[in-house]
Amino acid sequence: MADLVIKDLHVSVENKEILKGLSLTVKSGERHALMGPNGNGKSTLLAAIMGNPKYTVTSGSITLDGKDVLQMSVDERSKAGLFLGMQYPSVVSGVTNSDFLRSAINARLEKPISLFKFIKEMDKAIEQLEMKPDLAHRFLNDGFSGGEKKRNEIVQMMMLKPAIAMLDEIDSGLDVDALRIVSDAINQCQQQTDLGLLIVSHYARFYEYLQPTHAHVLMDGQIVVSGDASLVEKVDQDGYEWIEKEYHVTANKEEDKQPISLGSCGAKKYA
Amino acid sequence: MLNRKEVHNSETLNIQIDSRDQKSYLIELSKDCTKFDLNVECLENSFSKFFILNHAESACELNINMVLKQDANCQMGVLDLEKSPLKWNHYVDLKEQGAEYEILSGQLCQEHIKKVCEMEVRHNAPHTNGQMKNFAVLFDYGQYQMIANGNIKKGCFDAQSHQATRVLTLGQGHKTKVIPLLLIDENDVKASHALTIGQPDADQLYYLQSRGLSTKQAVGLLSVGYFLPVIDLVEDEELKDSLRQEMESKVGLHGHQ
Repeated sequence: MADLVIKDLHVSVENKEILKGLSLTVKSGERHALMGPNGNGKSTLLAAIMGNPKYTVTSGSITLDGKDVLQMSVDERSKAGLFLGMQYPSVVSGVTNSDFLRSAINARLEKPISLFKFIKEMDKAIEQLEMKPDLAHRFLNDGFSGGEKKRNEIVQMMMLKPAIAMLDEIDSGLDVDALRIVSDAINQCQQQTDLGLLIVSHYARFYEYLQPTHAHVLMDGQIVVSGDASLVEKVDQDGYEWIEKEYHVTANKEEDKQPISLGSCGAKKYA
Repeated sequence: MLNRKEVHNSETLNIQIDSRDQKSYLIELSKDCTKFDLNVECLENSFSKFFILNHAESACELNINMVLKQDANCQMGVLDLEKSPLKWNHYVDLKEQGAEYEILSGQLCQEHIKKVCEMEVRHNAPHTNGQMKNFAVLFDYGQYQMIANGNIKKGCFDAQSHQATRVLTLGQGHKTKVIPLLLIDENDVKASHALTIGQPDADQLYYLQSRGLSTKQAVGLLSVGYFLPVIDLVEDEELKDSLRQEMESKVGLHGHQ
């Protein structure tokens, strides 16, 4: 029974505070939907829990089964049972998927996994995600389509069997069929391992498939409202404006990036 | 069939690949080897593969001279994971048209160990093809020097000379000097050189660590990618597996060196 507890978490990026006192508890078997307008801290929360060095926790606490997560290095957090399915997984040329995953599995075992068992498990995961059989031999995310990268994140989750999995917009880049395949795989993985899920998505259909037990809306660095799956439906129908009015908060608006002039290049100036 | 040879101190090996013959050689520099000269002549339409494995435990000098005749095809791999200095001179003459040569090297430069290489592929005839791919991983205070020269003489039209050097630097105090050269005296040719020297990408490291790999293991895994293309040249599966395990251990993938 895993228990991820976040209390009064404050997180900054480049001296700008993004999370402003966020509290949340995720337990085994639960499915938490985390929603909110872009730029309000959803990905920041997940990255901070995983220990991304770009994010600084300025105060608050994160514990997993009572152990202080903030004192752990990134790999220790993974080995403790946390998993982050990333929105933009890195491309690592020269390292095959199978080498990477076998190393990752062995890193958490005293005795290395047998090659036979590893291949069997990987083949099963690849088949379930309906990916091409050569996935194991391809370089990690190299030349993958957006959808393939996301499916590969789920393959990794299935192989590593975390206690708590955080999925950051794992549905983006997936077509309708792929969304169903990925959802089924997540559901099955949870049935088998009883993992707790913290899922960030903007897509109501994804939540329909996953049937969250809890739902939260994050605005301006705090969880403003929590509820059950009906909150997902309401947000899908009415958007976030009603929350701003009802709870007297203002969502951060993502700044429109303006084109920057680099000036003229190679133009001859005349006096 | 694979010909295996172990060479000892100050040994010279002269090999001729006969016309239309096909040969594979695995040459291992023994622990006591301080100097080895390899002279190879690849005759017309021959196919040959060479893999040189350095086991020398003290400073060693490796001199390779190769001559390729018409339509000869030769592939060479050099793997050097030893914690000992290596001075390596490698000269290839593509003497006649249609000759093709490819060299892949992988070198691990551990603490205070210097690896120096000067290689040149000379195109002396039209329609010749030379490829140089050199990979190196440097730990703290390791030193690596690679001067790679693709030299296309006048009249060698439709020649191709390509080279790529990739160096991964880990830790501190390391020194890398790579000079990719292209000397071209003919208009109708294709030539390129690529070079990367740098630390591992921070996002890649974070990604690997987020799956449970320690910094050392993550760096080791990234290093593996630099040596695998070279090890893949080995045809003997048993040897390939053992080389791979040795390499993974030396780059710290299993948590130690």
